[in-house]
Amino acid sequence: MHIPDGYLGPQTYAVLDLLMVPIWVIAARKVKRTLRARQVPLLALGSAFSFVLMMFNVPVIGGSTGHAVGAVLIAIILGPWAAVIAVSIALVIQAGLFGDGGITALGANCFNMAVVAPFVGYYLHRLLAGDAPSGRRRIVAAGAAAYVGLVAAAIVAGVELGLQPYLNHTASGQALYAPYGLGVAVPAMALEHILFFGWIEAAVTMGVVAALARSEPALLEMKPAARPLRWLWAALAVLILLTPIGALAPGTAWGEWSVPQIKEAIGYVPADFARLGGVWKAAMPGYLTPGVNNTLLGYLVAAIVGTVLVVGIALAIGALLARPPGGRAAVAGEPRAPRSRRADLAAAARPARRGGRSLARKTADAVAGAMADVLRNEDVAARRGLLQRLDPRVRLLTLMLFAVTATLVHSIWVLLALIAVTLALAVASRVAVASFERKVWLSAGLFALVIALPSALAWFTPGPAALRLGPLTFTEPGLLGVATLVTRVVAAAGFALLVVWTMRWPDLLRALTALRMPDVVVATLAMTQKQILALLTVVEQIHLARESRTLARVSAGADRDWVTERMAFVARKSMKTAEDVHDAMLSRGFTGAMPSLVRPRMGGADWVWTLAGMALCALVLFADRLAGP
Amino acid sequence: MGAAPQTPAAPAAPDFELTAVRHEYRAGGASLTGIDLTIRSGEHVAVVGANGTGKSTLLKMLDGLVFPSAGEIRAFGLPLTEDALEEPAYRRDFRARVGYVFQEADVQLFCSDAFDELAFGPIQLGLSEDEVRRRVREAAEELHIEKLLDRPPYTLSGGEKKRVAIASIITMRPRVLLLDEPTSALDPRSQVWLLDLLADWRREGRTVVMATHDLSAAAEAADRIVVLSEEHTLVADGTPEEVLTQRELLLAVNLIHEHTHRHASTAHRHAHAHGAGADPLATHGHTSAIAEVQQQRASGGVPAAPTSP
Repeated sequence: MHIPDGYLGPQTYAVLDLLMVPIWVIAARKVKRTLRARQVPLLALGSAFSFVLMMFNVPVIGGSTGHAVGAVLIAIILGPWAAVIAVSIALVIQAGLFGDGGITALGANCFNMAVVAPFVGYYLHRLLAGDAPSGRRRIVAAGAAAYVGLVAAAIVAGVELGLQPYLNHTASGQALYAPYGLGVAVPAMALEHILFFGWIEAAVTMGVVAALARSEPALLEMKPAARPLRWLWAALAVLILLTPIGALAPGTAWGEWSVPQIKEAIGYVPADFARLGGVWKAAMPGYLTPGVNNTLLGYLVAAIVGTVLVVGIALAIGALLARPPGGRAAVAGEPRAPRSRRADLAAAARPARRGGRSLARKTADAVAGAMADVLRNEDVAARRGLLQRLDPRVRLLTLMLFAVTATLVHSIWVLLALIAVTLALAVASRVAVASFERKVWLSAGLFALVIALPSALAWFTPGPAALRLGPLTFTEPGLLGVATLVTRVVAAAGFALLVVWTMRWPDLLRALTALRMPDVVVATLAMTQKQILALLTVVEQIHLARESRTLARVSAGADRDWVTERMAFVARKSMKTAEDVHDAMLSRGFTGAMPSLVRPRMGGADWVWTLAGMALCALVLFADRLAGP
Repeated sequence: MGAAPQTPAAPAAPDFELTAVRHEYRAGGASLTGIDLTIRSGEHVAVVGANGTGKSTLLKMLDGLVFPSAGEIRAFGLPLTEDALEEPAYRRDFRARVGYVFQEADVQLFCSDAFDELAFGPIQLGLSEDEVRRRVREAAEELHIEKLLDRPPYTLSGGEKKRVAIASIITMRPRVLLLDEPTSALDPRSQVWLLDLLADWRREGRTVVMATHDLSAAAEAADRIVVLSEEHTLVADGTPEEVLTQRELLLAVNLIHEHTHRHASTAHRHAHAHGAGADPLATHGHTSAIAEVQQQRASGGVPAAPTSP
């Protein structure tokens, strides 16, 4: 559900980025009141837990695996406002340290996963669990809350993506950002999570809550609910439960964005609204009764087909990209992390299995990969390249300015020029260019291509035919739209990756401090990153230990139980560590503030670079206006 | 903040006085009970006991992190209570006087790099930037970690982490150092370095209280050993010679156990200590790892002190 850079137009992400600011401020105030001095370690460990949770592979059906977001689980343990901060910080670290999720889209991602999911889930959980402190009801309530919370977040993400074609398009109907309208994006996102990811979320949340109820019930203690507000939660929950139905049913919530209204408001009818109904009417005339809204049925079928396709393609790509253990670190002559030798030993010891890598191995590999990434970043950031010489604030701000510019540009040619700029910066900063380009094109570009290509079909985007493959006709504006999205995503991902690869984490934190980010936020970020690495070590060892003792194939159910037990263990360890770290801070006279003495200083080169960067961005935007889309 | 009424009294008072102290994590299950203990200024005290006897709890109590369920603790002549520590002047004074080195360096190193780690305490004490920098530089020199200052903690080795952790306490210039299992997770050479550091602190008149189950480290570093039993009571208190020769007692509190092994063709039994490879009671040619390194050092085989890489 992480929306990368380039899918959302500037109006959408700017609104959501700005919307998150007051939400974070309110959340920080609420948390400060309830957690007091303990907030920094507790939030840091909550964030680290949230991050690490996303690393656990959970078995689903048919040997496939997925991962949970854990937003509702965190909300159940820490409360919804603390979950806002904890999940936001986890998302910031994913974007800033590992390059997952966009920089400009950070507000959108935080809104979906750190606000919608925790609040919907938390209050639904309270409503369903009633006064039951533990037991079956509590566990089922947690599962249902996690499911609904995640689906609600997915629907909101679908709306954000689905609004793009209406907000940004060219005169010829070519989409500039995410190409699918609300009629496809919302049902596709909703169904993907209703059918697939929601169940993972529910299974993980139930498993961890059940394990914690057994071993550490104090973590799950609920304050008595405020009774007069009950009816409000009930109304909220009913609304939420109806939302996915509303997306498909005429005349309710999502139906308000009907064809005439949109045409009236924007003067542009997204082609998919008009087309799909006709297609399915022709395909299955006998099954449609006159009273049923054919267009909506068309969406429903298209969305299901689309979901199956997207999930299938994503899994296939995942399988193709999955390299043998150790292969990951060997890419492009990067220094190989010492731990991969340990991984090789374990790999040699493990029994051969049908269906590729075992669950434990997958997670252990993912964790080892993440840690190798961090060490690699540290190594690249320590080289004396162009970007590394600049003041961290200047580096951060100019690269972000470039990323924003990439989301503003409409012309493919100008976007290609920006991609050339990322390449030049990568070379000048002594980044391993091969792995840089592989990461940018394969993980960001290819994904955008797969997602967007169907939108180039004449069904979705009408216009002069450009390419015919059997029954499929791709239109000119359709293909141009896909190309625009892919180049935009690649350009923005390139700048984001340069931030990640050329910034040492302490430098990034100091840049944030110098940019007047509150101490507590920076301190929590710092501690979170450290604790993530500590927890990842534990998680890797747990999984390698499991791998080394596993001789026979285990059922998916048993695997799932084991994974959730381990997650609960990591949750307990996180909270215990938070207490210990808090003690260590108290022992050294901690009073609530964490200032740092090392402040970056601007030199001549920094000013030159800042001005040059701003001038280049202005030039790019000017050239873009000249070139036209 | 001005002069507070409750500043710790003149140094004539012992650093810590514990009277009938009991601590319970949950009702009924005591983690410490009936503890009477006085620690005078400049003493080096080792608190020994098997796992789970309450050593860490005792140390945390001396640091004002946990508080007795019953009984009283006085620090520097004044009662050490949760309420007293709420008072800013008292808290500042107490935190500056007492430093706690945690067993797990990972818990203690919570800043983004070593410099911030060393500066954290002085900054919390409200010192000027120049003073903070001076203290960081001095502590870094004392512990030979000048080259590590810009490194994030996760790139440090275990021994380096311990040095940074200790340096981050030293910058606060504490009179009393509380060390939880200081020799665990250290290789023999770093253990020797640590014992040398403790000897320096003894010359400087600093009080040291260390919790350990490493009897050889206790024997070398402490001038007084107190023993906690598995019933969470204090069962012995004396010089290392007095305590470590009470074989029956050490067997009873599970610090040593009977051990059978073979030398060439003859099997024999003797008491055996668990620790970082040391055996203070062995009298038949078993030398501890530490003693071995020290002998080698005397003959010039091993560098005198490990320098930072």
